[in-house]
Amino acid sequence: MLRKGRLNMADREVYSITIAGVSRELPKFEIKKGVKIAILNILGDTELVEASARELGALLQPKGADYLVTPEAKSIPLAHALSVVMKIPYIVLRKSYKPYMGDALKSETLSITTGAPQTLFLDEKDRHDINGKKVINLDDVISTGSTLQGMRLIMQKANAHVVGEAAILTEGDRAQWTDIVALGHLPVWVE
Amino acid sequence: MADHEAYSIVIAGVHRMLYKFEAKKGLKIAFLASLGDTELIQASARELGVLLKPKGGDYLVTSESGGIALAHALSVVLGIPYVVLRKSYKPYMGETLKSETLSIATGALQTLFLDEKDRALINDKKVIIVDDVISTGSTLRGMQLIMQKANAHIIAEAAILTEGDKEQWAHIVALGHLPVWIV
Repeated sequence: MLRKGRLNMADREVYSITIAGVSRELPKFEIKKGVKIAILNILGDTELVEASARELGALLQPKGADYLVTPEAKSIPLAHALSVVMKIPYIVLRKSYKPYMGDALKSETLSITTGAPQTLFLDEKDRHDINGKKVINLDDVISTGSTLQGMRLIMQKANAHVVGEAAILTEGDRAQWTDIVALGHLPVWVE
Repeated sequence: MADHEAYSIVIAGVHRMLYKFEAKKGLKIAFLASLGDTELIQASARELGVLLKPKGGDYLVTSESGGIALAHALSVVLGIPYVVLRKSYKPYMGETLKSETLSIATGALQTLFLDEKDRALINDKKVIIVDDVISTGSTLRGMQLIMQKANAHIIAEAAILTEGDKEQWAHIVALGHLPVWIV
């Protein structure tokens, strides 16, 4: 039985894509009335993450960055794998504040999709590490750009210099994302 | 940051100074910042991989966010996939399984979700639970509860470090132990 607003595994539509030589069938999902997107979930997909990190690493190495920066939580495996490939550390922007994060920096942006406020925090120790350093903003998928905007804002506050922005895939308006280093692009389906 | 007390520890051959902070009045803990510490995660995954290989697990299971990098690195070492239990429900997760446990440390309700696609994967499979630190055990309990609901068989539980009551965690495959300080 199909529950409203939820996926049904059996009769779900898929979008086929090959990323860094790895083929995947992404489930399509109606995100709002009349708009379908394909869902890439890299959590647990070790093969795809390792292949993507190798390809992105080759593209990003010439940028000479000191740190990778990524938001919690879905893109953490990619940041880790890319950190291994590029031999530079990564920093995770958290979605909630924890007491051990000290005097953290914060950004608030509005999600274009849901209208909900999104908050990102940069830990005090990480703040000190990236001050005056060259960083690459990294995410699994760059879609509406609201998370990217939050990352840019925090990097500016932290006095870090963004020398590149990268994702496994971009999504939506392809012309908007020409500066993003990515391995492919996802369409959205408007019915 | 300069005036933080630190606790010195060597994990899988990697030396780290963990800063101590007061988790609640009168109780200090040492904080392992494993997110972003690629050297520590890679070294820990290699050592845990050697210890866990003989268990013959089909899947690793971890929880968002602390265990994700370790699960990925361990997945590479062991050549088996991993599943992440999420802290919040997203519409694309479908018919999830859910567990609710009380955090011993804060008293707050912790919720974990197992994605519909992952449910199908681990049904009747042998799983190894991993986390960066196993401390009070409330996250571990939540993970155990979901595995039971998902009909997955837990054949081992592992962490980089255990914390607190050492005897309680004698069965955990870990690379070290953190004390807590009553002040």
